[in-house]
Amino acid sequence: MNGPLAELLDRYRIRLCLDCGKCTGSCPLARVERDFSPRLLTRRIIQEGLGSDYVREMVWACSTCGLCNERCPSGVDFSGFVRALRPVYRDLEVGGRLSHGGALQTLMRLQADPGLSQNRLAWLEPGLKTSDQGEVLFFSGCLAYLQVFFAEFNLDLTGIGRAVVKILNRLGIEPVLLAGERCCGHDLYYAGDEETFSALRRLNLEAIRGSGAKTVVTACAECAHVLKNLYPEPGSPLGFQVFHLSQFLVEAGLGGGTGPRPGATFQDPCRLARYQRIWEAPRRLLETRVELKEMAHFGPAAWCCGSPAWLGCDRYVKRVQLERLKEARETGGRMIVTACPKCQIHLACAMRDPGPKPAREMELIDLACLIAGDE
Amino acid sequence: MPSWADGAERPRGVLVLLCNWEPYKAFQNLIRSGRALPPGFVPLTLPCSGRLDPALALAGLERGAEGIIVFGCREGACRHGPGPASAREEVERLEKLLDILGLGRERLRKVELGGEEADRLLAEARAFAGRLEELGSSPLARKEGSSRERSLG
Repeated sequence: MNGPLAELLDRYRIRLCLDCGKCTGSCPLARVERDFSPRLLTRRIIQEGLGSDYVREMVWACSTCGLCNERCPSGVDFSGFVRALRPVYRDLEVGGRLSHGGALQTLMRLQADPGLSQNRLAWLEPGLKTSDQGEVLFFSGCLAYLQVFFAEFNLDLTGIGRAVVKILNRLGIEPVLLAGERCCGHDLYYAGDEETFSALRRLNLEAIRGSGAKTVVTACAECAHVLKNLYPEPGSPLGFQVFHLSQFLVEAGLGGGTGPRPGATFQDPCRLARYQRIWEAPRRLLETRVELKEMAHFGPAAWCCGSPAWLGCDRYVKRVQLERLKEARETGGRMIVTACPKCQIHLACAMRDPGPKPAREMELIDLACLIAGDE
Repeated sequence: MPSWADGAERPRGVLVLLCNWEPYKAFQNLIRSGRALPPGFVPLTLPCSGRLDPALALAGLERGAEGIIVFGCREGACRHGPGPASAREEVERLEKLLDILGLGRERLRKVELGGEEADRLLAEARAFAGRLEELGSSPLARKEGSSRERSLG
């Protein structure tokens, strides 16, 4: 075997697979009886190459949550490999099934148009202090779009943005917000559209660098992962540091809340816990505000929300989400705190599932909103 | 039908979404009377205006549509029941998305129409063409097709 596939097999250490099956044993999709097995996929692609029917289908089923990587004793980067295969299959016109008819990916591609002049900050309220130039920039992400797109879930997603500004103001920071910010490109990158991802990256880097900010804070686990891990390129340092809000607040020494401490559990976003190794910081902020009750899988072992790239949502993904809600309910807490708007949207959707209704009674709240509620 | 192949002289494109029932009947009546939609208006039928989906509308904009006009049945005339209400909800969602994108909700127009109203269909389409003329080119449609997603086949 040679060509691009051989290069990918080496780069992601696929040939080092020991066939132990820990990946499949821990994979949430495999656990809900999806005919999905990271171990089998690696074997099939080595034996049959890109033409394997199994690989062509399953490469789009993987959520790239990274739990397999966490478990692999051999250091195989399976989710990275799957991600890297997607542009290859996309060129062969073997695409994945985009959730919501592809509308969200279209919204992201539209944002790659340099001629666009968006109104993405209408959620800011009088009293919230922001600036056009400064040291700290709040990269607010796609909150405005998601709020409208998922209106029927009655989630306060733009409230996450207001909460972050409020918290930063309390610390004496008037963050820069960019009217010209674009989607970070996470979902396009994980759907294999590297061309549009690069366009978004270029526009965002230009805008961030133009603001003079040296610190970029996000409340979205995905934005933080993308800016921190995918935006830097060899020979082109970012010129600023990227923090997820939880990490920034712990480093800034934010104190604890003083109100009552309701029982709550924390949904670790895969892009935060596994892709950035951040699970302590949100807990440091949570433990003084809630009585933290961990789910069966937490921290780097957490199950993800099922569909981190608006890709391939189906009845198996729904089962992953329902299993996750079951774990949440079993903690006995009354709140599920998240640190990624997408976790919140997906868990809210699963709560509306017409089947069994685990955890429907639990409140979903973003970490930023919980902290902003401190008096 | 104008050619949408990539080129400097791209004609103005307007996506016309017609419910397959009353509005499509009006459209057929219009064609039968020897008239046509304004140049660049591309008609597509939907099984029901309630099937209006953000994915479809946004895909139209991405492929160069300057605007989208949706013709649906009136409340009570829907063959399926909840179509008009569902269409209104989707139009509202799309209007907000267009505002955030900075394209402006004026680029979307929703009209409820009966099958006998071919004249009104044409008048509404012409009025919309005039309105788009006033708005000027959409920032998305202005430049030449640059990716495979942009260029309506």
